[in-house]
Amino acid sequence: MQIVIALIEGFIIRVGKIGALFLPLLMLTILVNVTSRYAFGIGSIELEELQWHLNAVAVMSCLAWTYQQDAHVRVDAFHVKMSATQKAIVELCGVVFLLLPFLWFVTDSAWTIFGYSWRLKEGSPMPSGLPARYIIKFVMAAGLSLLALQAVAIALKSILFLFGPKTYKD
Amino acid sequence: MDILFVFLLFASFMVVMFSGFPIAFVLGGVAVLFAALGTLLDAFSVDADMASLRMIGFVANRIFDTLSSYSLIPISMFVFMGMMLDKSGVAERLLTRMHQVLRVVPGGMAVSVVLIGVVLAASTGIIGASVVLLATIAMPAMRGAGYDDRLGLGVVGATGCLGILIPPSIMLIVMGDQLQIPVGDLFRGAMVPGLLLALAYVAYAVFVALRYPDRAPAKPIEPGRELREVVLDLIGSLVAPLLLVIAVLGSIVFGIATPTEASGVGAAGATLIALMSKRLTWSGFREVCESTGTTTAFLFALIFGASCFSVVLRGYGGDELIENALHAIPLPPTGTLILILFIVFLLGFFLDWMEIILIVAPLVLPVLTALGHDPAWVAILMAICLQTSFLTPPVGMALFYLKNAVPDVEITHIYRAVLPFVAMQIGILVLTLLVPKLALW
Amino acid sequence: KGTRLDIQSAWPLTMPASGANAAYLGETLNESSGGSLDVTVYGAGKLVPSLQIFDAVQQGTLDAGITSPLYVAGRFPAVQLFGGIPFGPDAITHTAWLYDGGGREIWSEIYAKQGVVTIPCGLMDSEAGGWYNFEINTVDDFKGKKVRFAGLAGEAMVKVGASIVLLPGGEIYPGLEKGLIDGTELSMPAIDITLGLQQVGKYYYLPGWHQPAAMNELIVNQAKWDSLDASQQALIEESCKAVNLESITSTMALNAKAVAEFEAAGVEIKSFPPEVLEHLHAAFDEVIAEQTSKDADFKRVWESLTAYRASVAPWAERR
Ligand code: NA
Ligand code: NA
Repeated sequence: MQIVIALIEGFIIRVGKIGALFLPLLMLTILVNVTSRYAFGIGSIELEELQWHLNAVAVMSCLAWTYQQDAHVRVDAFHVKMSATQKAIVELCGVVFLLLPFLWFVTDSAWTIFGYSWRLKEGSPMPSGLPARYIIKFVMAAGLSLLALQAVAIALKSILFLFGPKTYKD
Repeated sequence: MDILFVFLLFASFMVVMFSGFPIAFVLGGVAVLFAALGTLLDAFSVDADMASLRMIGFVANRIFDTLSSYSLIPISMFVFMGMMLDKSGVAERLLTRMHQVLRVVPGGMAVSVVLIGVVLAASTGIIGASVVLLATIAMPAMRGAGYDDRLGLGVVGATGCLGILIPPSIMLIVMGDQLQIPVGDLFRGAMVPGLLLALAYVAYAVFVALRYPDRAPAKPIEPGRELREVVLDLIGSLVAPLLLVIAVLGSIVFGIATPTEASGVGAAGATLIALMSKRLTWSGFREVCESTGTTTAFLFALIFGASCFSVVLRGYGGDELIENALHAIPLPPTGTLILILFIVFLLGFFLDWMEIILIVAPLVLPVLTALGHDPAWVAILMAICLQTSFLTPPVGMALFYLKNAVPDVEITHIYRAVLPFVAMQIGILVLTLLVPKLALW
Repeated sequence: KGTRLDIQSAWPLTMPASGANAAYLGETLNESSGGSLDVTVYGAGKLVPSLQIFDAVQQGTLDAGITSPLYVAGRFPAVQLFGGIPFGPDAITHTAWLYDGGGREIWSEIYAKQGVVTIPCGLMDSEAGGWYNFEINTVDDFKGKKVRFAGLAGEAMVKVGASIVLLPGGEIYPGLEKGLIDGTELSMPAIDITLGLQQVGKYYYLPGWHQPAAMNELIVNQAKWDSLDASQQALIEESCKAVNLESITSTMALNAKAVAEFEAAGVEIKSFPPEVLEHLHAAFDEVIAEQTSKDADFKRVWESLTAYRASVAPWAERR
């Protein structure tokens, strides 16, 4: 089980680290767009659309990793005072009763949205915009699925902590 | 009946949130559970507006819309800029030098933070970047100087929020878009109230330092240094940040870049500064990217969660509840305006500004303009109200950023620290209400 | 209680014509169905973002939507011709083509494959030619200019040497003010006035060549539609005709008032010289040639339109 958790988390780290590198690409795209428009009077629909494409990739690929790093914001008034066991219970219950139900419905419709876009080979509504809008819809569905996977990993870790062999706690 | 479910929805969210599970997931999860409840009750034909699980199907559409929003790009770019400035050490140097000059002023370090905050506010359009940046550089410095955390956290949180009021501001851009008011009018109108707020914070810091010297101890004068020398130092360290402000603001003013693109220009400028300060390594660069990635992700996660929550709120007739309340109570024009601002303020406790603008603004603006109020003035009043919502517990973005950047303080400490600043914001709000000229000139 | 029908509008319900139509349709259906329909109309973004309405209706999460076929041009390029055509016919002829000239049948056929029913709902009068900070005397005046222009018309603008900048709604005003863009196409005067561009724009061109008429649509999920009885279906169909009439008559005075206000604010009202329009028309013909060769449905719709226009020309062109 611990191997499974390690595999999942290792994969999520890699996705997150690669996704974060889309941010400097976004910065460069903006610079190129601004310069070419101001200096050469060339506006580009593709470059403008590319900006939010890159942003979306960065956000969705870091989403699960952020949970792994425990960087999602909590109201920790009581949380900080809890014992490790109590924290594990909160995490387990939260994942099972809140996060997974939320992701169950949302991820399902995200994949539906991607599937429909893929079947239609959807592109930008602007004739000379970027083609293949389904790629971004795939990124959305995949990012949400990764978050679900990370949630499962965290639930498993909590279960191991609560009910597993004593050695795990150390 | 409707009011019962709306109340239960908010109450459950509040209670569950205090378990300490991530807020974004609590927002989404509680909403889904209430949607399931609605579906269940509908099977028993309870006669009331109900959300249903089918409505959760909208959430992925809304998430995609958030992801494809051009106007939200500055979130990541301004955070990137903040992280990069932090790496470059430029902001830190600026803070220490400004404090050396301002050491004669009581609470000089807090005053320096406000002044730097105003400079940052004029270059960024979102609160996140300024709060994170200010917190990372100013909190250690203020703690080192013996400042009480309560003053430090409050100043950093409140000052960091100025960015949304002092132009350029993403919030005003979104508001102008939603309410169809020229953004230029909003930018102009927000200027004076924004600067007045900064002034109030300075006054407060000075007052605290005079009244409770132990909370903001005066720093002893550094031996063997002339004031002239210190001032020159300060000017030297102002060059880079000022160039950055000029790059960001200038590219907007001279029509080189849109306010959205200006964030990318700022990020690039900060990277250049970091490169020139020779403190940027490849691994440092990766770190900036990665911490920007996770910060941006947690912010978007909150938007996703809030989006789900507001759909379910709508399903239970939350919108109509507000609208009916406005029509049911017969009030004079000013009374209605105050009531609406009060509702906006209350909603700010729970919802993010973007959700409030989407929910409330299109509902109430027609009512208010019909009563003869100037739309731009109303929008500015709402903007001040909303910027307060960044600081009001339990859901306040600035509070979360602060918590994220200073992990060793409890969020309840942050809640307490910002209270006097919320009071000052309400004061400026009332002032703008009494003297419309402040926003309309 | 009547059959529930949730309709999401793509525009704020307070927006003249397009948004007001949605509110009007809801009221009309509720009043005249005698309680058999229980319609709720949601303003822009309340449930589903405007650009995602089609998907939500297609998937059945949403019963119905009032939107523009222009918004799904990335999914079905052909349908943008129903929503407004550069150098297209005027409002009467456009509507006649849809109802009487076979346009609607093709429209319905394209959507039927997706499980979506479409009803023309929201006839829009000519759009304005847009705001410019430069005078347009010859077609060369467009060279090197940055304009905000959407869709097929934008492609034609590129062909005459302009370049396209897409700005979100809120950035148009500062963009035009600071010279980030030199011009922008928007909508009809009654809607343009809400953006306050009269404070920053020098010239306002009338009429717009890029959209002499437009038709919005009511889309309904097929399963939902089938669950309605014949009288409910007929009522919706006829109410949309009422919407079309209300839509176009309600904006006549509003547009006039808005243009008068622009003039009072010092904006110069101009019209495109014939020579410029000729060049733009030629450029647009190139765009159409490209599109028709790319997409079979697009070709079919375009041929239906040209055939109808030719058949009514002896009267329509001489009216
Ligand atoms: Na700002
Ligand atoms: Na709040």
